[in-house]
Amino acid sequence: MTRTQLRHVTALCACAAWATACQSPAAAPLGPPLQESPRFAPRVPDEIDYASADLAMATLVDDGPDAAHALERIENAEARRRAAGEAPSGILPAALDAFNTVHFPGRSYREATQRLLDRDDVPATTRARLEQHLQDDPLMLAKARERDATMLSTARLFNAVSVPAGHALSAGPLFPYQIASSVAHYLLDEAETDPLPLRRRQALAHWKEFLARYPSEAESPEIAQKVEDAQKDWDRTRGQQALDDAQDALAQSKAPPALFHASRALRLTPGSDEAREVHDDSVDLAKRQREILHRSVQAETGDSQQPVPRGSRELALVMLAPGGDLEAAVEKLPASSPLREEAAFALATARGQAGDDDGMWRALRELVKSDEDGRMARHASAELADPTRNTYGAFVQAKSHQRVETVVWVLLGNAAQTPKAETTAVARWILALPGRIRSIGALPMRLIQAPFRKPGASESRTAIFARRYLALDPMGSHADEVRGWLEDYEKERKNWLGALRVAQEDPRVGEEELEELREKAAKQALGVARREERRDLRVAMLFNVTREFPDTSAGREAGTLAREEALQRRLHEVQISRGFLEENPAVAGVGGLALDPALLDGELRNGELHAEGVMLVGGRAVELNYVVPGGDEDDPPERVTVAISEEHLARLVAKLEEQSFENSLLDTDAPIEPHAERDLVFERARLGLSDDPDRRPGAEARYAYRGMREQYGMVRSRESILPFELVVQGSLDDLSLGAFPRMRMPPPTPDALLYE
Amino acid sequence: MLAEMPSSLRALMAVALMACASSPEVEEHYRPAANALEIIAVLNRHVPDDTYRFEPARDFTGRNVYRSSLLRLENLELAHPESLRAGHMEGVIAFAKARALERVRAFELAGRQYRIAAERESLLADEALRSADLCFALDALGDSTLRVRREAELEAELGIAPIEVLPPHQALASFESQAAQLESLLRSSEGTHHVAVVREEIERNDVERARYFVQLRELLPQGDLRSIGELQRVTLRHPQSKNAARHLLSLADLYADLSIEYVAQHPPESLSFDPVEFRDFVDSGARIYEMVAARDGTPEKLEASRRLEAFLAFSLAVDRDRFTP
Repeated sequence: MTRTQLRHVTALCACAAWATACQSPAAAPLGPPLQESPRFAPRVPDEIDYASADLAMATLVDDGPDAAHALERIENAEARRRAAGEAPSGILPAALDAFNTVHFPGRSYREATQRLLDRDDVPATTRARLEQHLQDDPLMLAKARERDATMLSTARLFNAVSVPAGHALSAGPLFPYQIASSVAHYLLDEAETDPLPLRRRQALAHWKEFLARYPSEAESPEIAQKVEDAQKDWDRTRGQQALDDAQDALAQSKAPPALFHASRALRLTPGSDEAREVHDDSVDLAKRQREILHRSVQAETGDSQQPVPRGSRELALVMLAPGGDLEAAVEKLPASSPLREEAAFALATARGQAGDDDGMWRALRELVKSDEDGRMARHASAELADPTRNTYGAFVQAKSHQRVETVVWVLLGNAAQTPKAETTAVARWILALPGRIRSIGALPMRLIQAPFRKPGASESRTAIFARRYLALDPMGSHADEVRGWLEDYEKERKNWLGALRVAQEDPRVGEEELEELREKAAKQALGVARREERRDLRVAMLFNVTREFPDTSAGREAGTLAREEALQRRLHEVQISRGFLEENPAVAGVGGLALDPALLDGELRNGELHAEGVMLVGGRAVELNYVVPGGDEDDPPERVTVAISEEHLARLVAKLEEQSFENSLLDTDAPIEPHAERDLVFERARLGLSDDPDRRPGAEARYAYRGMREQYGMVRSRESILPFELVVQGSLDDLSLGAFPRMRMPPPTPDALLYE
Repeated sequence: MLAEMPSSLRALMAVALMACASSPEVEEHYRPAANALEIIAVLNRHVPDDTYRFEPARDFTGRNVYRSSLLRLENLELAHPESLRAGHMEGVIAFAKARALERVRAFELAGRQYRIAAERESLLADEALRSADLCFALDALGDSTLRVRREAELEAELGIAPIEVLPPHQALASFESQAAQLESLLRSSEGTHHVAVVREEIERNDVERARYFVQLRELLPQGDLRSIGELQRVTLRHPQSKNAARHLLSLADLYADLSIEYVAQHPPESLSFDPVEFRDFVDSGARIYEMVAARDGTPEKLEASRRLEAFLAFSLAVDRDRFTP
């Protein structure tokens, strides 16, 4: 190192030492953190105050002339202030709105509000509130939903062309086909669209509400006509849905639902030939099934029929009597006896009752194989198909189905999917055929993916049979095999509690493996307990984990947590973060929390509030979190709990709520978050009941007021106002890559689920 | 008239009739039972079934196997009286019918059939008499509280006496005594298939006891709490039962009813509405519905998930600031 370099290094070290020295360690707050019971000087009301009170009074009793007089007084007073060069009081827009509510009843209030919004002295919060009111109108909402419906169908058409066009390069010679296929898909979608799709149904509901509210408005006749037309479409939609359901049920030979849906379809679309036809078919099916069922419990009465063939009594007696020698009785039957089948069935049953289940199922299978149309073969088939009794058979079958499914998926991918027996479904399947065939080429990729496939519906079905087998016959001849499979299944889906339960019954599992499973199961149970929101249940669950898994690390941790929870004295945890206090000085200021401003000035030397801010912890207690003296902001805070007066607490929660309402009006990213328990705590605080806190476990409020920067960072992402987005899309299934503009679909409204 | 129809129309009708008719394979599969032994063999296969833990088996038509066997035996007797006139099958058929009857809770009839079987067949006599005693005992015990209530209702209908509700202490004493006697029958049935039958009766007694409190919950002091406790008792006493999910559903339904009643009595916008109390009902109901909805492979899963959906839809009507899901 040269001397010059040495000098540079020394200088750098000195700078670093100076910078470190400048950042002084945090200190404890110098004075009291909260200004207790601030007193406000009473203000002498002026003419505007008196006139405002009179206007409020006139508004409440719906007295138009008095309201007009009070408004005039406010306007005159404002004019006087203007003439005297004083700032406007700011009450006039609110006064005008109050006056409008009396003077412009019904829908005329909307026009008055519109005129009010044309003024330039309307405060932002009042403007936002009035604009929200204007939007919350049945006609406006219906128009918006109609616009959404139009937008949706335009976007579908646009995307039908733009998506394949964007894949033109990777599609190569298949491009014309892809365009044609996409357009065909669009046409099929259109054909399948309900006569009255969801958004238009929403519009219909809004129109109906409009008519109910304003039956004699100028727009009412036009809206009534729209309702009538839409209602017809809605009946057709419901009729079509019922018809589809009936056809589905009919295809599965399910007579009762088919008949129910077909009758409904016929009622909704009385003139429909299709509905009539499906209804008639359903009636026929139901009749046929009833006849068959009736016949099946009858006794055969043909001339050649012997209801009691020779040997019946003897055979029946050994079957029914405890300890009867069935084998000997069967041996005595002549070879030509018509009771051979019954005897074979009874022998198979006797094996099962003697504990040889495998022998029984084998014999029943042989009985079915020997004569599929035989009398007893149908009973044997029913036994074999009964998943409650032939659980091992069902387990093996489900496993083999699962294997076949995996092999088919690896070999064919999506190409193996078959369509439903409907014209449009078949047409779609044919249209997608080239893509499906192309996807067969991705076999190597699927081979790699196969071992990592998550357990699906077929695995869960196999697991049901496995559990049932173990419940029915825990010591059965296949118990080890079934237990092994179930344990692997539970491990694969990371259900360690389930895996442990199975392993504990398995004598082959060693203590070491059990120990490992216990550890994982305890961790899983601890995770579940931690996620529980109610404290009483959480504590109970934590204690349970400790009791169940005392020798595991998670069990010990659960014990510690349970003790901490039981000892901690917070009834509620309503947090107001430092970020929120900084962004909303009205809450931190004398009108709210009355926090010492030095605690928010960024200077650690005079004490500073930690990022966790303050927390209302029940009663009149407020927990203040400081940056720990001598530490920095990243350290855990020092918590100090102080009691404030009832009046102070009431003022704080009132300010907090008002500020939240105001923020929600001015910023769409700060909506009011409903929280019943928090509101209950606030309600009690406002009523002065904080000294008598609600100690029921369900009353615990856990909520956090956080600043916008804390929630969204320095720069908030904004949704584009353009209706298009640029998409780059690739698929491993059919090895395609493309880029295209896509038209955005309007998102469903929050109440859309009420119309589905 | 057919001859007057155009040939094309006749052909069309023929095709339609053929399409409507069942296929011969189907007809063959569902043909009637050929003889008594066919029916007895199938029934005998399911005599040892633990119907307390598992659903009763179904025959090839999907019917309850005990019921269908009983129907087939009775139809056989009616269709072939001359073949059975000799009476050599009487004991066997009576015994088989009794086995079927006891599984459909017709204990008195089952007992009588067992007595006939004991008289006719010495080989079956011991088992038939033991079974008959048990069936008569079960019949004597069965639904005695229900019987008292029905008698009271009948008397009220006839104007003999005003309808009286059985007081809780009397009802409880009756249920407890029934339970004790059933437990004693259970002990004496150890090692036989009747264990499942008696367990079903014990479960039914417990359910009936819970139903008594649920039905009278609005009249009895602390009725809601007592009803919840009784339904919980049923779920705790019968976790192995085939009806375990159904018992849980009943408990969840009660919580759902309580929350609906609570909203009716204390509208959410009113000052008397207590969000904590309401949440307790909703949470308890929703948790139990969720628990049942998570049980794969049971019809109750579907029922629970739909009821949960309906229950949560009801809670949508409550203001968000009074109840936040």
